[in-house]
Amino acid sequence: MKKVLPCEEPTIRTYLGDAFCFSIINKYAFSTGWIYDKYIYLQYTPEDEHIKYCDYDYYDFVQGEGVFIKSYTQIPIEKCNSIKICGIIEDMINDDEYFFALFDESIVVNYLTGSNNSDVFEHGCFVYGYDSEEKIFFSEGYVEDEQWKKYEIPYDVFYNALSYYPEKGEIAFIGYQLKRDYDWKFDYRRMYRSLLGYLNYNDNSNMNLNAESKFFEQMLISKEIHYPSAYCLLEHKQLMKKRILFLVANKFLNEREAQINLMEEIEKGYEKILMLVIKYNVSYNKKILHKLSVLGYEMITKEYNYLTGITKCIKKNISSIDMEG
Amino acid sequence: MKIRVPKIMSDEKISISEMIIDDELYNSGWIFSFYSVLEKRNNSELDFKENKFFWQYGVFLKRYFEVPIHNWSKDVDGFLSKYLEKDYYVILYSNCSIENSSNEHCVLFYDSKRTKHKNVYSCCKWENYKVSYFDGGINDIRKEFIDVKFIDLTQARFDLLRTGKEEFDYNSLDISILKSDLNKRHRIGFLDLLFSFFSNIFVVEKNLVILKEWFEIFLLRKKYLSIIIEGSNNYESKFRTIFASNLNLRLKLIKLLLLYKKLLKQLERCLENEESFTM
Repeated sequence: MKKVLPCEEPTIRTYLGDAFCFSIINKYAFSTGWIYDKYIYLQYTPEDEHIKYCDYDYYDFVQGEGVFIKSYTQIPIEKCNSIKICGIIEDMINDDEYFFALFDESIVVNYLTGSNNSDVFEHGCFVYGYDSEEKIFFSEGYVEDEQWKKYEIPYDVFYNALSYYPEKGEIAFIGYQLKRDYDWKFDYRRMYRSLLGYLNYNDNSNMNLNAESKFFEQMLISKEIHYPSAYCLLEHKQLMKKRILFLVANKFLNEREAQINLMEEIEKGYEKILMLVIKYNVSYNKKILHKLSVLGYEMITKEYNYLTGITKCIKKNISSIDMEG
Repeated sequence: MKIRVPKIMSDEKISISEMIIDDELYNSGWIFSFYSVLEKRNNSELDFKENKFFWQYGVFLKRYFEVPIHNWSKDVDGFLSKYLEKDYYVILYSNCSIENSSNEHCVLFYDSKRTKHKNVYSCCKWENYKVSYFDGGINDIRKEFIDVKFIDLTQARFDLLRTGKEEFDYNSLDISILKSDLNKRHRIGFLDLLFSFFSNIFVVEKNLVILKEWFEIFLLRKKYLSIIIEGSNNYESKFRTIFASNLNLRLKLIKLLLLYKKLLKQLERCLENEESFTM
């Protein structure tokens, strides 16, 4: 038997947890505008020096939104075997439940690339389908060359990767099932409030534009720059551009107000930042670091000015929409 | 799916385990490897040692679910019928506060039938240390059986339990579990006795119920182990007499706790010499 659940190319994919979830909901999230009142806040976490989306965490994905039915299962390791665990995963897929867990990614990379790395690399995994005759699971992730790819893993390889840490005493996994009657909608008031929150960077917190400032500050003293954080910043601006286009399409802004060319300039600036981060992490050239810092602050200011203008226009238009309503 | 009448009704999770555990594990006495000792919680309530769903022994496949609720009746109905059909027992949780202590309460759904117009569920809940049963559609259950004010109407929490013979490899009472529990904590000290005396009357009443349940399990365990515990008959008969007496409840509780300690000590001594009993 073969069953493969819908799995799209995720638009939000800096971090695995988000990426897996967006593989399930991407179509609904973007076509309905649902995404545009979310994923606005950013957060800098000094303990790991990372930039991430605020409020939307892997295990509590879009907490309180009720997008998914979630399940959690633990099975004692001494009661586990490949047949049993793979059978449970098949049952989950049959029930339209996507499978999430932690596994040893090295085992899967070794299988896919023929390499022989014996170091354990604990990472998230995702299964969206199976073929019980071929004995393979359908999965995806950044397992090769930092590229987002779909791939197939034989049952036995997958089970070995899943049971990488017997000392834990159990194999534990999570299931996400899309809530069928979920009301996908866009809340423009929430979006407006979130944009105002995002622009408020005089409070010295680790949030939003402050988060970006702190990330660029930290760059000057860190040895290696966290690449996914730089990617997260770019993704955030790409999403912001899509948001502006959505607002134009839905008449919350007109084209003149949107000044999409300015947003594209900001997006390009963050593309350049990402390229410089890659170059710096290879060369550790101090000149690149200086360029990065200057460009980073320039982009923060640009984004602040641009979004301040946008929020003013939205406020004016929202009032007129409410009057019409 | 079938269920049996539980011996322990003071603890909902233990009750459920008893009600649904595989016959082989019940009839062989394996289940009585557990519930040998009582613990005292901070509020002076006694409690059976935590061995609620045996998932760690592979006896049940246990899964925990969080279901966002948009329409309570429709969502819960859909969820229940789906998993009961797959031979899962389904437990719906609610949170409520009773007598100033925060308690988690649940309803066990153990069967469903599809009639012409609706799904009819068989379910039960725990009230005053007794199990009460109800059959009905999801709206009848909500109206007549569940106090909705204690239910979270935005997100339902469920445990799903499925038994399966392939899940375990025990067929007799597991002495190692019993011994380790006995060694760990069954000491009820002088202070505990003092607390029992000054406890809230509701706590005293509940502790008496728990002690009575513990005693019944103790007798069953003895039967399954086929052992003779030296001097225990005397303590057992005292236990029964005190329990049936008209003594002040607090005094009764203290006397029974002293006997509990003595019976456990006798059992522990008896198990020290494994050759003295047959399994």
